[in-house]
Amino acid sequence: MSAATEFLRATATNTVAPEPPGEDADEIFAAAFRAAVKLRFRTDAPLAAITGSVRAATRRHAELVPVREAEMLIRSALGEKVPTGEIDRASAVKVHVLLFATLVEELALTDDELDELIAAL
Amino acid sequence: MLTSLRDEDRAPVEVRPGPARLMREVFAVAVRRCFAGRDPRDVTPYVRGLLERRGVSSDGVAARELEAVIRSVLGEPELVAGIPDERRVGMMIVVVGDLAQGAAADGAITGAELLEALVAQAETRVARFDPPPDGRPWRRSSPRPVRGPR
Repeated sequence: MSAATEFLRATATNTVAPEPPGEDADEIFAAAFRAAVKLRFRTDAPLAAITGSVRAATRRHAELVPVREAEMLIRSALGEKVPTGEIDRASAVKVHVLLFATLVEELALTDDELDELIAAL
Repeated sequence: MLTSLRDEDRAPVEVRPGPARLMREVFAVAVRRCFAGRDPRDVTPYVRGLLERRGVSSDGVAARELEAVIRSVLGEPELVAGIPDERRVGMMIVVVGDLAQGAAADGAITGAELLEALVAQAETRVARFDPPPDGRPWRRSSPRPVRGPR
């Protein structure tokens, strides 16, 4: 596992990452987010289900989650045409990592299934 | 209120609580009469069209915030967290004007008449559910106590 995937796993399992994720982690975080979104939602998922997951993320991570950006990035990952421009790197990373953890928790994945998901990135 | 809506100028309504409260109600009435009962996803293409008609980028912050402000009166108030009040009022004015223009395009009523009707309905709702201060607060902090049988 790379430092980035170790970081993702630690976030999802509520443990401490052994080291920082590194500068090149953004692509892995984005891929992990997209994989979790597609596992969690059908492409025609009701908007209420998506906003429910964003609310769950805010309950767990409070003001760290940019709610409008989180919803739009989920809908975009599902193929919808939505406004995703002008999202800065910090907001994108927060959404990718924190929503990955939330969606994995909502899916109730076992540690083995989580490792499989991460290994497939 | 009507001046603000006709001129797309938020200055007349944002200095005092009464007009600002009324503007929020006008906005809620206009949005609900157009979108209540519809899929909230319908708000996204509406916002895209509105911004494109005004020559504003429809893929960025403005689009996300405008969609959030509209959906906030459709049962999702948490979406507007972090959007300053003055920006919200500005967006409300633009949306009310646009919805009124769209409805007036059908020809049954003019945009000005529709705005007056919207304001009148909003005033009724404010008076009914959230009366202005005549020695009382704008919104009661707690319900009146219910007196039980003696």
